[in-house]
Amino acid sequence: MLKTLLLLAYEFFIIGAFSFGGGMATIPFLFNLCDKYDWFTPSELVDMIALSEITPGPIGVNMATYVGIKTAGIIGGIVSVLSLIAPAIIFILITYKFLFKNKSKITDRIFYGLKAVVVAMFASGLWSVAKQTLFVLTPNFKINVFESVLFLIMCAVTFLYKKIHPTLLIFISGVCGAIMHFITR
Amino acid sequence: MNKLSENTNMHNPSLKEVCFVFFYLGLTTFGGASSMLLFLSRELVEKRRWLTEDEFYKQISVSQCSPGIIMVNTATIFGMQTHGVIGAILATLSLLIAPFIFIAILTTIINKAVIDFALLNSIYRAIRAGLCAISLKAVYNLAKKNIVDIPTLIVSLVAFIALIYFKLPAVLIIIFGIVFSLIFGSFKEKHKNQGQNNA
Repeated sequence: MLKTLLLLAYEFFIIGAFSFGGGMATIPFLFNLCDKYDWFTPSELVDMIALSEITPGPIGVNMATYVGIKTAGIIGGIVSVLSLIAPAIIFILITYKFLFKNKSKITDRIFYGLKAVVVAMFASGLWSVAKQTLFVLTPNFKINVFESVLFLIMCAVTFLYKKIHPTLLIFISGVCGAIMHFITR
Repeated sequence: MNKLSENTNMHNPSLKEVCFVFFYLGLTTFGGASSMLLFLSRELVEKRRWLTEDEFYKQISVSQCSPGIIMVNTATIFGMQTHGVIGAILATLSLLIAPFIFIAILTTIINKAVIDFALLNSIYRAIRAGLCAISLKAVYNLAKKNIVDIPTLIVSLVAFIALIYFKLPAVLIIIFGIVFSLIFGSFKEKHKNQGQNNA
């Protein structure tokens, strides 16, 4: 048991230290864990990813919690999440003074181009989710009609009505998905 | 502690308020990196006015370029900015509470009863479509604010293509952004200074 906890702590610390670009970047690491240990199978992991997306919270945190709990119970979950976020906290505490308290021109200059690159990173994150959700590229191009229509409606709502809470939109999307499931079954 | 004193019209949150907001965000936020932006900016910038848009996007850039989960990093940076190291740790932990409880409850249910994974999958796909819409809005806001001129537009397009088509690792893209800033930023400053001198 202790050995499993230590392994979880080690693996998630590594994932936390080397996944740049948020939760989606941790998914390949998690598939590697399937090969390395007998904690869970790839198909269980796919279900975990789905569950992490439909429960509140950042998806990366949810997946780490889920993997940890599944492997070593509640304590495993706590160990996994804390190990996942530890490298980032250490990194930020070290670089914070330089990036936010430094009044020199150098930091302003760095942010000028960095922000532009960050836009591209967020856009590519959006693209990779959108292409899995809205259409199929291989082997033949196919549009997922239900998802695409829902996407367009939700786009119209978010761009036109700024006051609506995004959580409400997610909830409505989920309900639409459930209704669709029972209609087409 | 008065770390946000530079903007006098901004309200300085107490440690309790910071923890509460990040707990609330943990409870109401869905999805990955880009959809998060909308939830965060709504709460921290628009509703509570704890940050200006500029400060917010600066924090987001650092969160994106730090290893780990972007929203967790934002919580750490915001906590650090308002209440130092203690604030950073407490804000981060508050964010984790609600998601943890949800997963803990769900996993115990799954062990006992059998969940209809086909239904789950339909809901999951629909939620992803909704998340795409929210992410699109978030990326649109981000681009509108941070792509300020032709050079930044080009850099951002090049970085996007490098990420999507050439699948370059994010670290290289970040280094590319910093190198570009150091070279082009100084040109820009010189240009500005010359302009001021001439005038």
